[in-house]
Amino acid sequence: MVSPTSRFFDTLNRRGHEDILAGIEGTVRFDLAHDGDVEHWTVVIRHGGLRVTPEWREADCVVQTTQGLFDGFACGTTNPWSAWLRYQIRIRGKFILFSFFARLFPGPPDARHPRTLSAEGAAP
Amino acid sequence: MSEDTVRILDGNVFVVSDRQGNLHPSSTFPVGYFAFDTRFLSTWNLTINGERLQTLSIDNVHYHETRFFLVPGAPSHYVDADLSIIRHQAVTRSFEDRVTVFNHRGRPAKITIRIEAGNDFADIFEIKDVRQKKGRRYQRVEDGRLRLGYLRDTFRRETLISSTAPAEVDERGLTFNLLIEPHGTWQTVLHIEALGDGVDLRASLQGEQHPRPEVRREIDEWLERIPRLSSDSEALTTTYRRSVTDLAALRFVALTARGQSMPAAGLPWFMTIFGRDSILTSLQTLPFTSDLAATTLRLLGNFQGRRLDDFREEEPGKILHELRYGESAAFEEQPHSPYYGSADATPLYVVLLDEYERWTGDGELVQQLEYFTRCALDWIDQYGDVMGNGYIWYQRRNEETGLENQCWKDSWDGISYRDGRLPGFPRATCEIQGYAYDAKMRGARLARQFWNDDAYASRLEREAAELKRRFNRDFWLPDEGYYAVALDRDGTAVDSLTSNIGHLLWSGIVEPDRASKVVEHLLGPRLFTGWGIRTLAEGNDRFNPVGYHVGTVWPFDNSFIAWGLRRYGFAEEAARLAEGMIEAAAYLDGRLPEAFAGYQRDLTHYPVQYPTACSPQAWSTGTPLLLLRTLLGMEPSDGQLSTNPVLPARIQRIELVDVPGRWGVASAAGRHG
Repeated sequence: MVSPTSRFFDTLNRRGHEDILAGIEGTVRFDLAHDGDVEHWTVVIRHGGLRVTPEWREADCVVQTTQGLFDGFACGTTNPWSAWLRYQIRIRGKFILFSFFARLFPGPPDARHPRTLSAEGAAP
Repeated sequence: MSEDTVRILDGNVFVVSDRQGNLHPSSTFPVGYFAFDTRFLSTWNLTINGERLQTLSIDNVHYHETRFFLVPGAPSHYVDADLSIIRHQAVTRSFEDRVTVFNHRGRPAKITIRIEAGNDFADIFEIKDVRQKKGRRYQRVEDGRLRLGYLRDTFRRETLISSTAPAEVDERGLTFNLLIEPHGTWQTVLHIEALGDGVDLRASLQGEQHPRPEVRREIDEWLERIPRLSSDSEALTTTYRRSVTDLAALRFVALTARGQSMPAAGLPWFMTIFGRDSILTSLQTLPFTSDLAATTLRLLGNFQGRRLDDFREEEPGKILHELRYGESAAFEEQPHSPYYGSADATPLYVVLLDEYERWTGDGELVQQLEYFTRCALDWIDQYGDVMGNGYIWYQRRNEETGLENQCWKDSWDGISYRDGRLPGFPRATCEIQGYAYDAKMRGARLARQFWNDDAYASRLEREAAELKRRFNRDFWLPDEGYYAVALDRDGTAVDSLTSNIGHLLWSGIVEPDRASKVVEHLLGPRLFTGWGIRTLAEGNDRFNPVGYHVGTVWPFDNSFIAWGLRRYGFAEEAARLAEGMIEAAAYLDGRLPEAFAGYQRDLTHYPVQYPTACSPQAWSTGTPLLLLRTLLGMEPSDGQLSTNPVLPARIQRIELVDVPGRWGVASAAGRHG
């Protein structure tokens, strides 16, 4: 079975462009630990375009965490910002690259559009 | 804030101590050494031979350093001490306490200095609500240093205390047994470092250590670039000087801000990034310094919402409300990672970008932020308008820790009917509709001039015009002659008289023929105290002159109202308001607090501070600056600085030199007669 992590990076690579990364340049590498091994993903960001390769490469920003946690980020079930504050993510190099990249993760799957909320309450 | 405390700060690292430089744990007030929303020292008590110290005087050298002149013993009428002590405390990312002891006698002094040290590692959100910590605390003595620690799962925060002079260290503090020569001195520098994950706290979060800035030089350079003011009004010059210094102190370098500073909201509760506060402070200060605005725009753009998240109330395009770094954010006990519960920050973001360009001519930033700005404008209609009827509404999705009121009056009772009833949710407050109107108008200008998108500009202008028409139909209370503070979920107008209507003038959503009615109310006896305009007018059921958002006077609120008065041509009224504020500030050493009591001026003759108000508070600090802009009628116009001064009765002359902008630097001056 394909892991949520692989699926996430695969989607990212196929889209190949994110408007929020316009003006950002740099390489981020993810070192994801699992079962005594470390899996590497490298993302090269250049003016909104990005390219993902499943390999170790020199990077401006290195993000270390576990694959289990990263699966959670990829599914939106774990919030990366809070995990970072708990030191479950360790960052070396240019923090700002991670702070941009973190915005690409999806939100919680059960999140509601604010309109659904007002519609719920509206029906007497 | 209490009169008996001394504060020193460097961005979100700050110390609140007593008048001897000591710290004693308090459950009601944040006393201690704080960094990144965590307390790193709650007990820090120096005694000499078992005696407490008394204060001769305190010298607040700079906002990041204080000197305490002390002698041993209880306070008494006369002091005849054999010893005296100077404590020089400073905060520059870490906390330093330099203790110098002087022996004034002609014989050696054998003394024992004891410093009790301890910490509870409270999160800033725990101070008011002390509870059992979920993690484990520990103390360790190592290599002559004392390490205080807290561990919860992977979350480790530590305080490392060391001394330059040799000390006997135990788990509860440091002891120095000394023999000081006749007329000799002894000194030690105590270093208190905040650590995260075993290393410097900042480094632990951002992964690399940036060199420690030369705080004083950097501040001096920043202050040098601020326009110089001269005036016959001492109240005004004192207030201006105080404001500029406080503004420098509140500047805060966020982890993601690439070393650039932006205003934190206020000491001690709000030393972090707030979307609304940062934007409004940046707007107030734009004619004086534009770097706060530029950093605020970039940083808030970086954190703009992109997904839906109920706990954080995040939505695509939404500008954040509050960002925190402490334990409660880490373990999701509070939603500040970041929290997006504000309905006004998003349109205000667009307003700030446009105003920033008008002053600075920095079209490049407008280009860079085009995507974020379009997303913010889209948010207004796609997520803000939850009822689908053309207004921005709010209703929290995080019912446990989210804010009920997501406008600036964000206490639970901040919005009410005249008879005291609270409206249902969602709510649409009036000033937010004004901000939305302004955002669309300004967004249209940016689209036309910078993004080469006429069709989008026309659409925004059309939407703005429709919003203005709709708003003037639904919010106007014809029998009262003012605008309702909000619409209830069923569209009923919430009929209390509030300061919110003043913001409508600033935004330009008021029909010109209704403006004079609105102004009559604003400066009428129900709202205007003589010092300023109350949040809620007398005669409303919930009115309380010492109620946080229901009767107090908020300086920042008044500054935007004054700006609005000028926009609609009520220059003399704006000057009256400015005068009241400046005179209030003069009573408070030039420092306007977050809020003061809404008593009538001729009742108290003194601006009574709201009890737990933050001070300094960024948007109160920005208030005198916006008032100056208002009094001088300063506007960027055709690449030049234009002025149209209208001064208050009791100020004869105001001159502002070196006002920065797209024109380089220019002067602005006004005088009576």
